[in-house]
Amino acid sequence: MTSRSVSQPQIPTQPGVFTRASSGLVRQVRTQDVMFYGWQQIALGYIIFIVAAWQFYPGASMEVGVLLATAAGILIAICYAFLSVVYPRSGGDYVFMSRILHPAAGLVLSMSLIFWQLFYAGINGAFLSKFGLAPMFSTLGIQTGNHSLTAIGSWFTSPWGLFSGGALVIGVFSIVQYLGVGLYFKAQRWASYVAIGSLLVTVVTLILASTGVLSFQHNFDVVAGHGAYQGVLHAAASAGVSTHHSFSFSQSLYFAAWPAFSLWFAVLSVSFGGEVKDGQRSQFRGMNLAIITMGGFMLLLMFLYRMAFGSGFILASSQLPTNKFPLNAAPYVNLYTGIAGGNVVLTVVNSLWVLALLFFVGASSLVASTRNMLAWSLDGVAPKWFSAVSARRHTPTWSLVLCAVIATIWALLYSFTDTVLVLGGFLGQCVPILGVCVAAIVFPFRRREDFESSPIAYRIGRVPLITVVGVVAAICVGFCFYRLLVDTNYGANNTLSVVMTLGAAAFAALWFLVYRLWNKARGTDLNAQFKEIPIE
Amino acid sequence: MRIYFCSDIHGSDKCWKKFLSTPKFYEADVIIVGGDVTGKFLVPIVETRRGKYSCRFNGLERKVSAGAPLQHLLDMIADSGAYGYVTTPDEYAHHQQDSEAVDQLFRRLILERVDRWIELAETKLRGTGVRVLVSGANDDYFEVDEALGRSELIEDPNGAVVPLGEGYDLMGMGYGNITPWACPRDVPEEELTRRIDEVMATVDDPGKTLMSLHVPPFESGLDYAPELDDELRAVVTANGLKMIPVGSTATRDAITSYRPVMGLHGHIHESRGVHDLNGVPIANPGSEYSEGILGGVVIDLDRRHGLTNTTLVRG
Repeated sequence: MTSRSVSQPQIPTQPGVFTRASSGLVRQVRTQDVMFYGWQQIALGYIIFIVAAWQFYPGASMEVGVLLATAAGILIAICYAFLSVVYPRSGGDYVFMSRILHPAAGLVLSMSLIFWQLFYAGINGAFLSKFGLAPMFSTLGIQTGNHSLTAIGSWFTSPWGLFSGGALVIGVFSIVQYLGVGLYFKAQRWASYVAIGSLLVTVVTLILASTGVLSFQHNFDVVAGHGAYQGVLHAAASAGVSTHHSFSFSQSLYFAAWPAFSLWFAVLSVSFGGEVKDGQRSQFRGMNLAIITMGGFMLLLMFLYRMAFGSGFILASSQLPTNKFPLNAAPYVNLYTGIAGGNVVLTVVNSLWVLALLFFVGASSLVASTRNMLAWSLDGVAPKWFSAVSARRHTPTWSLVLCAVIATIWALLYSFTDTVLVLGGFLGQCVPILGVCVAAIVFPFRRREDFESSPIAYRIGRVPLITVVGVVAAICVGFCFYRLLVDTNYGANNTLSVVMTLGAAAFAALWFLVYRLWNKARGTDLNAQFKEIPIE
Repeated sequence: MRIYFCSDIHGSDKCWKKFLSTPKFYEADVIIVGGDVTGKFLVPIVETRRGKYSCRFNGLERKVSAGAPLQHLLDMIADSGAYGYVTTPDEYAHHQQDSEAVDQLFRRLILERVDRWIELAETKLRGTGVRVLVSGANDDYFEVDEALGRSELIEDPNGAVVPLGEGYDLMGMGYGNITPWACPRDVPEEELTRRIDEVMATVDDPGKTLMSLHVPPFESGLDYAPELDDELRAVVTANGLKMIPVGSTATRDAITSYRPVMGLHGHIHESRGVHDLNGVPIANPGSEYSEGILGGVVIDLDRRHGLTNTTLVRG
């Protein structure tokens, strides 16, 4: 059936339904907007350390790992998208986990997510230094013979260099969010166009290097010395590093946790909503398209990296001790891309997408964190000052300050100690993702009426589709959590990460309990605040 | 005295039934709906063949048989705030071509539901001592006021001052500033100011008055909604939805100049909260009517101590 709106032709409607002139009727956000947001969250720049981690999984196919992570990401995205259709108001997973599971579960899982989002808000800045700026300056230094540039590259991997990146990202985005500058949005959009252009140039550079038009081996020898490329392979062989393994599906599966760390976060667009409830297909399409396109790009880049530089060379160079590697730089693939390009302009252009994506992903973490704090406060489970908005700037000042302080502490820990590693927060982030999967599984049974009337009341036989998808997604996330816990190569099972994963959840549970008691003492029953009013 | 305030239930049967349960659930003496009581969607349920019906509701094609399944579907639609109506393929085709006929149908179904709600309220709350205040607002047709006026139980504070007891009054204003949707009671800010001032001129003591102004004050923290483009689509940036203040300057001026006990607002469903505007507490309970969730504010007022509690609840 088709239909159209009446009274006001421009009033948004949905097929088979009539609408009238009334406020709040807005169209769904565009699929491409959701996808674009998902791209930001995925932060393809992470591919630099994802490829570097390949060495830990002998026999793993990076491409198969990406495919597995993408497939799991799609299932997780379906859970998020379906639940966001049922609960379309802005607020995201906190809202539907509170409704479907329990207010306490909603708060605990949301607090855990935010705690780890803030972890990455600070650390993403350090990633910018380590995986973006350092390789770019090192390549430029090597290509021009300018030792100052090489030294700057090295400095960005030092504790102060890492912390500077963290402080830059936290500082810039805290100020920007406080001021709410419109110019920022324009700058960000333009930066995204630049990133896309830069990424395309990288793809072309890698294709040229893969097909022999550009010779990476020759260019590497030019900057590192005659025979340096073969030297790396020989040095690795002499050190007992094997770079030839037969394909292993299990190792590919274990490796998949690395791309998952990037691809799964497209689901954060879940906080977008709208009142015209026509299935909100843009969420479904946008999230999945973001995962599929970025998964595809990741897969393509990995393939091209291998073709351009040689799988054996990537594995050999990443496993060599620093003093055996012929360049004064870390052996990341963006360093190699710069060298393959063979000129400084291409090096800068090839670096832009990594820099832009690593820079802007930190901003989203801060925004998501302050919005969630606002929601907790309004629900009475956090102090009122969490939702206090600056009269002049209309921004949640104190939440922002708190977020910036927590993010800075994490950036300091990452930069100056060995207690925090790259995937250190992924263990904790898996917990709220698992919570959403569980919410998806039980939703049709705990909220039967809501399910029946919802746009997602699909069934496979007699079993709700969302339950089936939730079960498979939960298995994927559960497996990832298990691997992160038992495999030291991810760096997620060190003492601090495990303690903080448990600690964040325990703290949130305690927080809820204390707030409940405190409110009760003031005559407000927190349970009654959330309890559904019985219809008599 | 305990007051329960909610707003923007937009035709949801479920929310209305919950609203009528609030006196018992929250132990409220006065319960208020601050406007926008009527729904926005009509769902035609077409009889495709004898005893078989089909409609598209919430994005899904639904097929049911006559009897209990059809009634269940109608209830489900009503709970979401929409108006389901059973029709024939010919009538549906006619409605698709005739916007005037759809408008008439909207009015008929809206008023039927309001009448049914009044009946439910009177059955449930008459004689209990609970005061029930319901007003229309910018999305409601003016006929809704007439229907509310016929009730012996429900009081309509729209454009009036209603004594609440213990020395407190409540004034109501359902008109709002201009929106992109050109709603029945959208007026320019100057006219809104004039209307508020006219009502406030009849108030004994603004400091002992609760002002129920449907549209929240501009830049108050209770008026943030997604910025819309020319197609009425939310603007998204790489940081998410772009939220902007869309409240009323007339409302803001009224709150800051009259300094009431409290400002009670609705209209912006996304901007739930309790804030402070130049020392005056203001609240917007938000709205999640289509999910059947009733957001509200529980307010405790005391002759001696004044305002002692404002708690946002979600029932």
